[in-house]
Amino acid sequence: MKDLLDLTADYAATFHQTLGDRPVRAEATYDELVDALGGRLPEAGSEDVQVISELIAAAEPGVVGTQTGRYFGFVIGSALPAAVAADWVATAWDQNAFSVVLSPAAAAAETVAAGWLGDLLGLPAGVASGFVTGAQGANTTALAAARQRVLAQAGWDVARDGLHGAPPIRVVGGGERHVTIDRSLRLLGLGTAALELVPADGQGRMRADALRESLASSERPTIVCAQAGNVNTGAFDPMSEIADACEAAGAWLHVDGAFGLWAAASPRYRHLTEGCERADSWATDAHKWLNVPYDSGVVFCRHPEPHGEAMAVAASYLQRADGRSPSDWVPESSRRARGFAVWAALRSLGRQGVAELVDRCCDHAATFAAILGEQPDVEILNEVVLNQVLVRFGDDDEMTREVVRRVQADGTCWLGATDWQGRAAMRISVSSFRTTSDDVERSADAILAAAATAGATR
Amino acid sequence: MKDLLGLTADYSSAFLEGLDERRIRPQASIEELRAALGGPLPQTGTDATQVVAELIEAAEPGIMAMPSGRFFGFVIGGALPSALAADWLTATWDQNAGLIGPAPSAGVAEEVAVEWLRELLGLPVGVSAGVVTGCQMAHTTALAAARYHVLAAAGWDLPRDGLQAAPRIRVLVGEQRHVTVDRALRYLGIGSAQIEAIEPDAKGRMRVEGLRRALAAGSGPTIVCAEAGNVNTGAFDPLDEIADAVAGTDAWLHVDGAFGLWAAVSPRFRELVAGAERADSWATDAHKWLNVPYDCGIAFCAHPASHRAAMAVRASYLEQADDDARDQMDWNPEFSRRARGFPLYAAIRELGRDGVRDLVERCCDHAARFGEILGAEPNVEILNDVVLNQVLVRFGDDDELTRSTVERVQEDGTCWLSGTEWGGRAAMRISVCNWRTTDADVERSAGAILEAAAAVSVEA
Repeated sequence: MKDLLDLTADYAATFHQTLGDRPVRAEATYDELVDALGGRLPEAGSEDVQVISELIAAAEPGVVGTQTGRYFGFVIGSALPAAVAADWVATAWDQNAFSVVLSPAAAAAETVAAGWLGDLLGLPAGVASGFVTGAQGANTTALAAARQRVLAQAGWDVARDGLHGAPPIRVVGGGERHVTIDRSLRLLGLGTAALELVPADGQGRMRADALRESLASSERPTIVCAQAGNVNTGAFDPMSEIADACEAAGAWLHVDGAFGLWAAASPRYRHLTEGCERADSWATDAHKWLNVPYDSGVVFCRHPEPHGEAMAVAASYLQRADGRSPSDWVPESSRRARGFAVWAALRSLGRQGVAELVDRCCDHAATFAAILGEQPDVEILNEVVLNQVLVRFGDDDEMTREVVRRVQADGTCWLGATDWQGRAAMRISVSSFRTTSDDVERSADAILAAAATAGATR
Repeated sequence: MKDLLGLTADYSSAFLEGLDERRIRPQASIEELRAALGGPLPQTGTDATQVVAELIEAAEPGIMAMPSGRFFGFVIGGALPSALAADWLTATWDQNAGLIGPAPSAGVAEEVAVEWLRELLGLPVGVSAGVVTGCQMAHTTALAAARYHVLAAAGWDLPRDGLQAAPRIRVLVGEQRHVTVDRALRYLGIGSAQIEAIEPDAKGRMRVEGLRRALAAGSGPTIVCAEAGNVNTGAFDPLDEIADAVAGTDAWLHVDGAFGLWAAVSPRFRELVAGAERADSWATDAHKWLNVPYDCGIAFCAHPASHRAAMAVRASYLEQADDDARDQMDWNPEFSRRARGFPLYAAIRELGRDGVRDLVERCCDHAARFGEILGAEPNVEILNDVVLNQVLVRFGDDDELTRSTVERVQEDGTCWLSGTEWGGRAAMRISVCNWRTTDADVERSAGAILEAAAAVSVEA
């Protein structure tokens, strides 16, 4: 075992130390990877050291540099060293973090980390929390609690009687909500037809006046999904106004804050999340801006009862003990001990370190916008309020997509394309703790070089 | 980074090599652990090496030694060395394994591994697969596909119109089903009152006559959930007869095979799952009997179009694959996610087909040995037919004595197992599914159990 783990640790250290020299994109094609990893089900076994050596040789060429400081695709984030090591320890301990009885250490780490997170994100004391795989699972969990509660208020027990025949629910979302919301609703058996869309403004923010009108139009049990941090622009829905409207209408307010909720950790950006603390539930990711390894998301809920009624298990073979039982608050039963890595990330950064990380990423995003935006024929489509930058080249869809393809192929950095309100754009997201000013300059140069060869800039 | 990872590797080796000497139960109470790990959110940062050293010091006393060969609680399993190391690579590479284009190795490893798994478990060629956190989410995924499929057959557009005004779905389950089935249904908007339980036989297996009657008594969209491997007894519902009963109706047959589906890898035990291959969907765990680290489960589905329709979503900001390529998130309820394919791949590579068969047979032999040693004692009763890896033991035909024996064994720390109720009677539940468990572990643990029983009965 020692040889195997030493080999793995040596390899991992070398991998990290050589990140700066690697192209950020994957070097191998899909077909090459299938050849290298595939083949028939092996009949006989192999030595563990050989398995790992072969896995590294076969898979590493298809690994993308999300761990570098020059990965700006989607909204991803790297993994802090302390969080990686804690995740390794979690694997070595291989705890099933189902309950206090099965793993008091995993349960305690979650309880402590949830308290720290609530404090950092400015949430009310006493909220319930669950550690899930990501904001998708967090949205589903929170909306399951919401479903339980708004139907209970209408005299319907959805856990017992199901949705068939239940009073119709209305879900109100912004026109630029993230697609995970729709997916959560589908999973919960609430069709997308239950979704009422409130128009968004040019930055993707839900319009509070339109929300008020929408809420006034019906008395149905209502769930409102607001967004802290649009996945394209980084813009925040006007939370205080939304919270006022929901309060007046008696609607459940859910906040999708996959990365945006982390603005609350920074004195410079906290104002963007003002009003978030008044919501009924919140979903966020730890594997994005906190730079915890995949996968890790957290759900918070102001109302422990419907949260528990929607999620908790009980059966005779499940022993109980005092305290917060981790699986009572999530849709999983047997599960990984996600609390250790979150605990280690928060411990390694501290409150100051998280604020600095958020500020630094936002500064880098502003630098990208400044460098790129001053070029002729390059347009920054969004107000860079956080860590997201939308760039358009030659005011042309095809040209913009071509620049993105060239940047991806070049390998200095990686980022993706999107459509913003009908126009193609390059999307830059800065959420890695590793990104330096030098990474930003190198990447901006590579982007401009790609634009020049594509003929996008003069 | 090198120092930090070297320290973590050294510690992990020492922890794993020290398992044999370790008490299985945790040493620290939940209060002690909260105190050791807790305090206010730190204001300033701490060096990574110190953080991990402190985590180990604070948390290790509260670790249950699940990787030990003498952990027999619930149905858990350890972590094969190469699966453990591959899981470390997973965190090292930190790939977001939602889409295959942006992280191709993670996608390919998963594709290859699930195809190997399909073959190992004897499932039909062409089934779709989603890799999830465990059997719980495998149920949720498979039953979401079922819900979509049976309602689409009734002309209902579920993704658009939801469940409220949809035709009512009937769900028929065995009375002894695992609680995760109910939990998955609740999540999906199907309430506990909608679930119809079919009476079991004396061994907890679904009675096929009951199922036939229930199918005939109703109509409309119907889902049947059968069980391969009862969590208490290891017993299998009569899957072939159940498939016969379902054939000719429009009902969807789902098989909960968290650990029992693995019987298919062994010629000795394969007959237990005969008929499972006729189902419409299957849920199983890799973190149990395959000994992949937590968490990893798989949903398989014989109707890929319904599976995908229930899960997939498109958006302009995602770099999604063409319809003929496999984006992982089209087959599971997650979006951003861990690259679970790497440890799954490594585990199958390490064992090969022969090794998985040996592992399953060895665990079942150990379970049989527990049954023999304990059952030979006066006042000790084995409550189940030990057909697989699960053993139910009752002491002095007394609930209190049995529960006290379980507590005494847990406290002693030689091994760990838990209590349950079977047929209204308290029992000790022994589950063997760890690759590390040896004959010596079984002998030592059986000895500790009998000592505990003796001590408890003297006190009584």
